[in-house]
Amino acid sequence: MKNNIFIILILGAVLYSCKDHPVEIARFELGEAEQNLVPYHSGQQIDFIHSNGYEFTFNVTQESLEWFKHFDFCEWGCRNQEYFSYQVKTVIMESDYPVLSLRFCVGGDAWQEYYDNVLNFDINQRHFISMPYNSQAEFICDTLTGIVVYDTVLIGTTEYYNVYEKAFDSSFFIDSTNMAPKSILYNSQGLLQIKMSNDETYSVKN
Amino acid sequence: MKHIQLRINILVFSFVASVLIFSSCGDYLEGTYKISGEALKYKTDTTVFSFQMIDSYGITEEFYMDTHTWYVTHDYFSEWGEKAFYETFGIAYGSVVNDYFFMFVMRAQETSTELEVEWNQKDLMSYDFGTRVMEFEPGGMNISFYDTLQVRGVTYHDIIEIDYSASRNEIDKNTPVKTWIAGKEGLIKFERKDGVVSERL
Repeated sequence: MKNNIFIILILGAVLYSCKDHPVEIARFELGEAEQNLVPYHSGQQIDFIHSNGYEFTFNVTQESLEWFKHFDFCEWGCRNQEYFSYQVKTVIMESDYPVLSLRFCVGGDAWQEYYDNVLNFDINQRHFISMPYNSQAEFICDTLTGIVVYDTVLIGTTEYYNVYEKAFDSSFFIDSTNMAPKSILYNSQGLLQIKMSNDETYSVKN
Repeated sequence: MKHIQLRINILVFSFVASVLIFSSCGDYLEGTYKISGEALKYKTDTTVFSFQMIDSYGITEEFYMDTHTWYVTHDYFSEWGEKAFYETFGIAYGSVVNDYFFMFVMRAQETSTELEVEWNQKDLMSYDFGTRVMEFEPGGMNISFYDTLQVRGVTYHDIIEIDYSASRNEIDKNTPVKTWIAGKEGLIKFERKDGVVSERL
């Protein structure tokens, strides 16, 4: 009987030591100010208007706040690895026509990769913008980030305050000779305008 | 000894029978099969890398040629066996605003040429220039050919019109109900289910 118990204990110890026990070394939680950088809620509808007068609606189809884990790359013998956890807020809003899917990610990107202090925005997962912010969740305006801030901007008949403008960083598969999204205007109320390279715009309708 | 002789006879017989059966499956194909003369006029000009269209609401869309994945080489011959070569012509476009994806392909066969048109990798139709047979899942479609069509004051020639009206409830919401393709220019006009019409600029 004692031998059986001893064998069971030995087996248990062996099995436990074979299990993987990753170790969390840090957690990066999004603060309230960071989450409020994307001020949309699931089910919300936002009206937009094209510069030639066409009016349409974006529906917020996803609003999520999730935890992810980041492990450094490990080629082999990858047990008991250290990792850190990070939170990502993702908001998706979509329109029927034009066929647009806008994704906002704070703390990460569309592929849940970790992005510290960055708001990532994309259109149809083809046109991308990154907007870094500081510890007070204010966008950083300098030559490195390329973000410009205006005291006031008139869109339609409404004045918007503290408006940031950022050019698109990249677009998949198209080059500089193509028409493309050029920049966005953004403030505490969210996305205000998408500017195209042919001067057409998609603006929040006020 | 008799049993061994019988087994050898059975084996020899099986081998000979197999050779006869497989060699009766037909001759090997030979020859170079090009896109037919009738279909040749629909080969899109592949030097046009992008073009713009404008819709009913004045929204500009730009289509750009796919140079990374689909039909990067537009015109080529595929080998079949060792002695048969079939011509394929293909061209694919993505779009900037609405993320459309449009593919136009023609494939030579022994006695005819097959046309394929696909939207957004969702709805694919095919048409055989020889048999005049159309195929489209999930439902009905119609294809017409005519000489000219005017779009925004420009006369285009050698027009293919593809009409999915009979299956508008089955096609994807972003697949146009009607598509017009010109011989050299390619896509020149399309009409969505929601009635929005886009025309080539």
